[in-house]
Amino acid sequence: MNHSKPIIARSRRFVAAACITASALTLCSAALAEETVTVPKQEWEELKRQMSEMRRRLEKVETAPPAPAATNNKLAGSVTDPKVLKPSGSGSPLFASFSELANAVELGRPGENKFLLTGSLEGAWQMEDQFHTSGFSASFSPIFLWHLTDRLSVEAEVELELEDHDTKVNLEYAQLDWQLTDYFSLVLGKFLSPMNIFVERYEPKWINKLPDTPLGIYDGFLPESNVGIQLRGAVPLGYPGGKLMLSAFASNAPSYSTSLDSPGEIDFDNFNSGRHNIAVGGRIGWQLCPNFEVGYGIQYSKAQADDGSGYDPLLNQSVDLQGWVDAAKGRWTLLGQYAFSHFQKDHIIGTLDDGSQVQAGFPARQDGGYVQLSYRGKTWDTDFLNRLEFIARGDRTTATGFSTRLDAPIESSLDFITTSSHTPGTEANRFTFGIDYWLTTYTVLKAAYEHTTISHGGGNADTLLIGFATGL
Amino acid sequence: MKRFFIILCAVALLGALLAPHLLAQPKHPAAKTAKAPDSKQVVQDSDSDGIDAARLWAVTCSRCHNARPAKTYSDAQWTVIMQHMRTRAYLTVPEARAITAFLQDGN
Repeated sequence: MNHSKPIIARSRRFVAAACITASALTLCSAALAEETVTVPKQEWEELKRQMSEMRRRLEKVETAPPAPAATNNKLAGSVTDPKVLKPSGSGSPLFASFSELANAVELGRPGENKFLLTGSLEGAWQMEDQFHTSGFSASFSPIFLWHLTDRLSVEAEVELELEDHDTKVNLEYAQLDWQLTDYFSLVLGKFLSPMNIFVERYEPKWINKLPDTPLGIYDGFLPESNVGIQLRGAVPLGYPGGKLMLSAFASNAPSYSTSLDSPGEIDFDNFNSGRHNIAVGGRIGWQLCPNFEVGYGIQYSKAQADDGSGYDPLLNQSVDLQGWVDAAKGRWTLLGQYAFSHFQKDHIIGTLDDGSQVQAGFPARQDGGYVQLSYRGKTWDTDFLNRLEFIARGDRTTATGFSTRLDAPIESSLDFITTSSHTPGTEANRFTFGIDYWLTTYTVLKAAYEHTTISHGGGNADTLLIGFATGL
Repeated sequence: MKRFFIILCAVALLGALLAPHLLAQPKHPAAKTAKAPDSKQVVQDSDSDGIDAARLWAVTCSRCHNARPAKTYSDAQWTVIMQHMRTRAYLTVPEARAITAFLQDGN
């Protein structure tokens, strides 16, 4: 009896709470009655599945990178422009499929994936006051590049230039490049001389900042090209920007003239090398940091007399430097190269038509080179100033003196009259100041003034040069 | 000739003295964020070989000539040209590969 009363009381409270809850639910149900829809369970599950799928797709779209507007515009405008073929952008399967298809078409376009035609073109006008001459000139230098495999390639350059009344054709280089390792390559054929850094790097018309080329690193001083085999490559030095650049070659050696018209003149373009007529050489360049490099090049050969009468040692050397620094709203570039030529022969012996014996001398030692400083604006507010480049270059050549002796026969006698003369060493100095205006990154208008001084009565000359050059 | 030698030696010495200073400098901010001209975006600051392709492109090409805009050539043409330049400019294969990828991505 004592326990029945609390139980009854708890039951009443439970019933009361249940009634209140039921009333509240009833009231709420009444309030929500108009928005409640009753659906079959199967349909409810289908709706849930669709909702889940929609949520998944929405999340995928939200996480995909946004498509650049420009790309979309291009896509709409042109389907053949290779510049719009990047698969980046919209992550939609349709866009990816289109990109794959377009890339496949681009790779299959003839002449674009294996072969490239490039080069340079130049035109110039020159006026010199010493000989009162002036005239126009032009040249065209197409370069052919073939990609054979990732390790093999072929490259060749032909220079077409006007000379007198003809068009002169020069095969500048024609070589096979074989990549042996990540650092070294083997080059076969006719290649630009690695020891002559100006020819190899700065000679192309649109790269050379002045309308003409420096003195002292061409004919008689250094070779421009070699026919043979070359091993070249680079070795990183283990710190940022440090690198050793190495090349070594064996090639046909030069020949020298035995003609009395041009005694001892060195011809580096000797394509008929004899058995003992081999040149060996190379260059070592030290890139101290990304914007400064010094180098030393050498070639030793036994130059062959062009009449086949013998061989004589010829040593050619070159030191060079290249550097640049960004300062004063522009880039300052310094180039320098100096060449030494030492031929262990200083005369030839020939016979004139009257039977006279001539010992014709020529300079055994020649040296020469240049230093060039240029400035081009980069960050001036005016675009015009950023297109201007100012160049100053100093050139110099020297040659040792030599003697010439003539043994003329005396008529009605077996004796000779000997006369001799000595030609002193010569020295030529030239200063050039030039201004360039860059129409585009690779098209330039050039203007330059030169003053040349030649020793021992050679006189002075002032020259004005104007030209243009473009890389193709 | 002696004067030329003196000038060359002086400049070389100056360069040698400046080299450590230049090397100690942080990367040029412009080069660090360099873009291939006309590119829409910086595509690759460093590749799998740890090479800063943008900086490498900026300093390597302009060493001898004005660097050409990426859009000058197609991707396939850049492959051919960089194979040529790898030999000519004494580039290692990883360097050439990084510059090629940089130009192609900026194309």
